[in-house]
Amino acid sequence: MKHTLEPSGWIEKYSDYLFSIAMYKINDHDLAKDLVQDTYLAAYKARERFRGDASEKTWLTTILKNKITDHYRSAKNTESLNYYVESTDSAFINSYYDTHDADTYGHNNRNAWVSYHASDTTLSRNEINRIIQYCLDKLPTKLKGVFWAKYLEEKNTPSICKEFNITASNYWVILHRSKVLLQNCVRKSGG
Amino acid sequence: MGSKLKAIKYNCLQAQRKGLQQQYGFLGLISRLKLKYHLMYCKVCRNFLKDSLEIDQVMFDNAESMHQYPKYTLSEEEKKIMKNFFDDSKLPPNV
Repeated sequence: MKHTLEPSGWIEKYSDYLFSIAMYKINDHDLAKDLVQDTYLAAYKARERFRGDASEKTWLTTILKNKITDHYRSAKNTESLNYYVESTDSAFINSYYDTHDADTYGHNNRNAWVSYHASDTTLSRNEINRIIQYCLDKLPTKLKGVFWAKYLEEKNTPSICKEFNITASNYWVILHRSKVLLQNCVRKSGG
Repeated sequence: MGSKLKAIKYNCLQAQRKGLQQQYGFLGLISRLKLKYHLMYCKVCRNFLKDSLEIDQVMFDNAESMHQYPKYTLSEEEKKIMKNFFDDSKLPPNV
C-alpha cells in the first residue's frame, strides 16, 4: 500500500508526538518547538520526494531526527556534550566508588548499592514504573537525551553515537551513569 | 601472583560498564570471562545488572506507549501560532 501526504492535517495529528520526541532528546521546550516547525517546513518543501513507502508519521519523524542530529553535530553542542561527560566523570566516580583502592574500586557505601529488588519493601511493577518515571525526570538534562535514544528507536550504539556526535566510550559512560543514578533514585524514593 | 590476578580482575566500575555492554551484545570473549569472574563474588554488581534489565523493560514500555500517549504536548495556543506561521508563509500545512 502506498502512503500519501496530507500536509493540512500535520499540525493536529503529529505535533504532540514529534514534540515529545524532540523534548526527550533535547529537553528544551522552545528549541523542541522550533525543530517541529522546521520539520514541517522541510517536509513540505521535500514533498515531491516522498515515495509513499513509509507512513507520513514515519517520514516526518525521520526528518525531525535529522534535524536533531544537525543540532548535536553543530560544533558548539558536540563540544559541550563530550566535554560535559569527560569533565564530570571524576566527580561521579568519586561519589559512588572508593577510588582509594584503585585495584578494586569498591563501592563507597554498600548500603547505597542495595538493589531495589533486594530491599525489604516489595514494590509492584506499577510502583516501580511510577518511581522510575519520577527519577527519569530528575536525570541531568545532558544525559537524558542520549539515554532515551536507545529506547525510543531501539537504535544500535553506532547510530546513537552518530546522532549525538559522541564517542562510543562516552556513550557507555552516559548509559552507565544514567542507570546508576536511576537505581539510586529508585531505591531512595521507594525501594 | 597477587598482582597478576589484579591485572586480570575488573573493579566494580569496569564490571558494571562491561556488564551493560554485554546486555546489549557488545562484549568480546575475554571480557565476558573477566566479567563472569567478577560477578561470581560481587553481589552489588549482580544486583546493579539485574536492576538494569528491569529499567530497560520500563523504558521500552514507556517508549512504546508514547506513540499513543505523547508525554509532552504543545498548547492549543502554540499550535495556533504554528498554523499562523504557515499561513503567513503561504505554505501548508495549515489549510
